[in-house]
Amino acid sequence: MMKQTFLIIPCSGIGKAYGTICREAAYEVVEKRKPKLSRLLCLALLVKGDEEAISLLKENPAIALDGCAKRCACKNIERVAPEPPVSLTIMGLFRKHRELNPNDLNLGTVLHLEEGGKQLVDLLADEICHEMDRRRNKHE
Amino acid sequence: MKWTEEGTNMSERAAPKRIGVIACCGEDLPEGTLTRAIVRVLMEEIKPNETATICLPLFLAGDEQERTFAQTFPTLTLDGCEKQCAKIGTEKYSHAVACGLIIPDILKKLHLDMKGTKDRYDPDLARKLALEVAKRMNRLKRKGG
Repeated sequence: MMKQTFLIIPCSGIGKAYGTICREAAYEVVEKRKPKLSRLLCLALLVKGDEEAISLLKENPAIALDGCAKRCACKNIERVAPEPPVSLTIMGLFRKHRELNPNDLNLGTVLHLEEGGKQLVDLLADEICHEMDRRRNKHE
Repeated sequence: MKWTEEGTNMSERAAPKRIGVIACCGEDLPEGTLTRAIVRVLMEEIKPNETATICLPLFLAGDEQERTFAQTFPTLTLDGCEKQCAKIGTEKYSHAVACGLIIPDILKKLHLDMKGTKDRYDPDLARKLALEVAKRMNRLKRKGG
């Protein structure tokens, strides 16, 4: 069984609710669903080039959560990590869950998610946990 | 000369229309969440027509146009901790910032205690701090950036 801690790194998207969805999904996993196996890492530390954050990335697998096609979290991790992160995006969620129509969902705002936004938080948290389990099982 | 209308000199600098405000958004600390809330309060309530922002990590993930942000707008950074990722990151990849603010310093100045958690910011505190940041924005505008 691998002993590493998964670093969950959401994008810092500040323009749309999708960034908040990524952020809240990260909190859901780190604080409630898998607190012993995961931790957060501020994405801004990677922009700055913080040595301690880069060391953590060299020793632990990362999961990038991105709210838009620019994939800031994934690209910033790729610059410094020895291995590419597991990359999860909101668009990927919509591709997987065809029953969800982004235009019909009441996501809420950057500062306050509504029902549709919370639904996506749950689904993204499911995806994160699934990827963690998959990777852990592979290393067993 | 930046932010100066053609034919004017330094003492006649035109006030920039918008001030850039970049939050660290630090996901791993309550103060990071607060920086994000402050920027949104500025954009949605206090200075909707005078605030510009950009996601900090876009400086690296985006293109050249995004990296000109702090040249285009006189920019103020808002950091949740003394690591000052927003200030250092902006200066590394975009341009020197006009003002770098750190949440604990603003709280100290206003004699306020930190409230809120990583996943739940305190709306009253965010508004009080946004008003203080707005004062700094006004000063920058008066200086002409």
